Amino acid sequence: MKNFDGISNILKWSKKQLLILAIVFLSLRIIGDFILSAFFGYAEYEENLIWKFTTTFLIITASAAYFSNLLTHDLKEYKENFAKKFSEDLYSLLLLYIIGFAISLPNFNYPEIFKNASLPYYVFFQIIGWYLLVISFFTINFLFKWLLARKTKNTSTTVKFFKIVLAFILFHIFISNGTEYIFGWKVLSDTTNIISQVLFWASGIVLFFMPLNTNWLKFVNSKEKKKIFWYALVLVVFSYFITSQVGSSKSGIYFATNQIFPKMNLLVFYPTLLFTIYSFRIFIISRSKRWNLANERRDLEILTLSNFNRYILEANTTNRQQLHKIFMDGILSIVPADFDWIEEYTNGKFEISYFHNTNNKAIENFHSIPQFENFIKDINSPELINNIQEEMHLDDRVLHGSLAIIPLYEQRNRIGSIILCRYENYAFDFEELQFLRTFADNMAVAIANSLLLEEAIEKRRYQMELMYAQNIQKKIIPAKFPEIENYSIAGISIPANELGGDYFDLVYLKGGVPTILIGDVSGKGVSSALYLAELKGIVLSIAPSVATAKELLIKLNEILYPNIEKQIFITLSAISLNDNAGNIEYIRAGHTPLAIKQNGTTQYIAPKGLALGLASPIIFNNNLASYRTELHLNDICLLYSDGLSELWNPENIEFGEERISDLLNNNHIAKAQDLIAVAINEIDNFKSNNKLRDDLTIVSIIFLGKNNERK
Amino acid sequence: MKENEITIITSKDDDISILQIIGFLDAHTASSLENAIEKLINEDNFKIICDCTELEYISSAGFGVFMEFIEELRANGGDLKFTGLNPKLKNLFELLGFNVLFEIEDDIKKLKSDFTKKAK
Repeated sequence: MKNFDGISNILKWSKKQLLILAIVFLSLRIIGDFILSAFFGYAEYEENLIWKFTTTFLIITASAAYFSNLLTHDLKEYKENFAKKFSEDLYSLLLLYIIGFAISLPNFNYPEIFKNASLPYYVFFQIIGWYLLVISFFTINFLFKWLLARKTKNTSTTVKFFKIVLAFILFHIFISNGTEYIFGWKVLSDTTNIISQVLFWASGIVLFFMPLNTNWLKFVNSKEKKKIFWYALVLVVFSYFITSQVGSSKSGIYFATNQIFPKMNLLVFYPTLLFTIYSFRIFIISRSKRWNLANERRDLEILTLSNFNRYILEANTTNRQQLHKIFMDGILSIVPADFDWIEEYTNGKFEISYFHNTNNKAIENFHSIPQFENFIKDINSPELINNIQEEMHLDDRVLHGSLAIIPLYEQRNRIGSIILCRYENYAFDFEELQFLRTFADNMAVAIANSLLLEEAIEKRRYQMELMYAQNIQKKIIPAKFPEIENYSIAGISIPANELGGDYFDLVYLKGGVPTILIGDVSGKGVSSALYLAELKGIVLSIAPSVATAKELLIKLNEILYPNIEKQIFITLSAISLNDNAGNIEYIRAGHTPLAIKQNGTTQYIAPKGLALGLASPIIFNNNLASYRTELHLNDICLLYSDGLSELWNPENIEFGEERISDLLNNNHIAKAQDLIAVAINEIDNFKSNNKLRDDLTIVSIIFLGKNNERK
Repeated sequence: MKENEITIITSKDDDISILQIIGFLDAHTASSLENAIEKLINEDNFKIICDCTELEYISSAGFGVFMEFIEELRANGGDLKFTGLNPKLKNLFELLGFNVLFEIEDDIKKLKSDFTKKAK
């Protein structure tokens, strides 16, 4: 309706205004006819032509502008909800046609009715004609809408063709016939009559074959499908009835339409006959195998989607490449492309992570087009470029065809695009776009899901492993010390994190000498905990074969030095309880000093000694000294790790040796376990809500014997 | 200086590299020192003096860094020496036996001349 588009642009009026204008013109016309017939009597339909031409032209122009406006207005919604709107429109047309049929019936035998109608009322019969024209306009509107909604490569050509046909029919009615009646030129009207008939049949053929070409009805569900089937069937019957009546010179509605303007019946006849053909086509399609094929395609889509989701859940999604392969397999099985690629965006640059039937240079060629760049950036769901040259405003003849672009998101960040290309223009149809949109939503959900899932699995696995490790560690550190005559011994180790690197134990050396050990593996976390487990194993295996704690440490260093990583070392202290009379031997390998309270005063003992694993046996052995002393009643030996001495309070003050001394000096405790309890209490008060920086271990040994008695 | 923060400044005096370690050297910051030493080694600087004047805290993981590189440095005719240790740190070095393994000296000039002597 090219000519009408122009008019509606000039008018720029709203739909409502245009409709009112058309109704005003129509009222003028009918009142005019009424007045004319009242004064001049019965008029044949070829009379008063100038008046009829002017009024009809105005009415048709206003209503064409109205319908053109309506079409642009409805089209967007129609495209988005095609399946539903299609059957709704068919239903509206069905009602229009049924009413048209109903009002055509009484004047079926035209001559009698019209002859019996007295002047000037017969002019009102033209209202039936106008109503049929309204049906015709709605029908044309529907057909254009249907064509435009399913944008295929042929759509624009077909729409142009139909506009030409329509314009030609209007030309034939108004110009050729008008001039024939006024001037008696028969040649022009005969010629245009033949051409319009040829054009009409050509449109009929086009319209008959168009629905055949695509699976455009495949997203319609079975309920809608049933509706469409019945609507189409009824429409075939009623539209055929109206067509045959309006085409027959013996019917009332033939007269009623021609009363508007001579040969006006053609403007009803052609569109309704086309619509009969179209409805018949829809009726056949709704029963054909084609529909089943469409269903199969839909089943395949569902299968693809569910397969895709399953793959995603099973796949290791940290592997982006694998993920992309799954995406492409899924997409290409439903929407095949001549060539395609995936690009990813990092720091404003794009990187091609996958391509098929194309190359880097061709892709870069696309990116050199600013319109392409902008288009790709702006979209947030899959979109089509139906004609690269036209839509990108390119003169370049090399790039042609159509594109489908699918944006990729990870959470809310745009991470890339999938681009599918076909060499033909308008090669992707609306249904394929719909599928891509659904698929893109699933991709986003799948990505989000898999990330969450991965996190959850990772966390759970970590927790399980930690639990095992903690269980093992609990076994490394004794829950309770064995009873040793005249000694009260207790220990505690609090890891700063889930796994500690501190250690204490009591082992028996050769000859059954009880020896208390405290150790600290350098570093933190899992590696420390593993070395700790290793240390415990080595200690247990060599303790029974060595006679002294010094010998134990030497052996340990001999084993550890060549076997542990360079940056790892272990500090260890040992106190051997040589007898029950308070004679002890203390030895230290790099560990914090021994706090020893004797005769009410506390001092710190740190004989020479390198940490285990630091130095070769020669250096280690030459720098190792032991310390012997004799304990008296209630003397205390306190072994601790640097987690205690270096403990910080919220003011960043260290716990330090002084507080340890105070702890020992100010408390007169006879049980090692109680000392630990007091110490922990003190530590808690000191650190307040500060977290432990390092693992904290304390072992207290209190001598309860009376060494004098033994002497 | 906040906990968990470290600054390492590398300077050169002839063929001797001086690493000024400022702040906290623990498990979290050890990698910074590792990188600094690795960089020196990659550039064939094997004579390193660690200036610990502004080192506030060192954990076992920090000590581990020195142990990681000492063999390689010595194998290439270099060494790792320490200066500027406050009494507390010095005590810590001694408790672990690092004073046996490394030269620790308040006078940085002496450390430098020791490097030179060794070279001769």
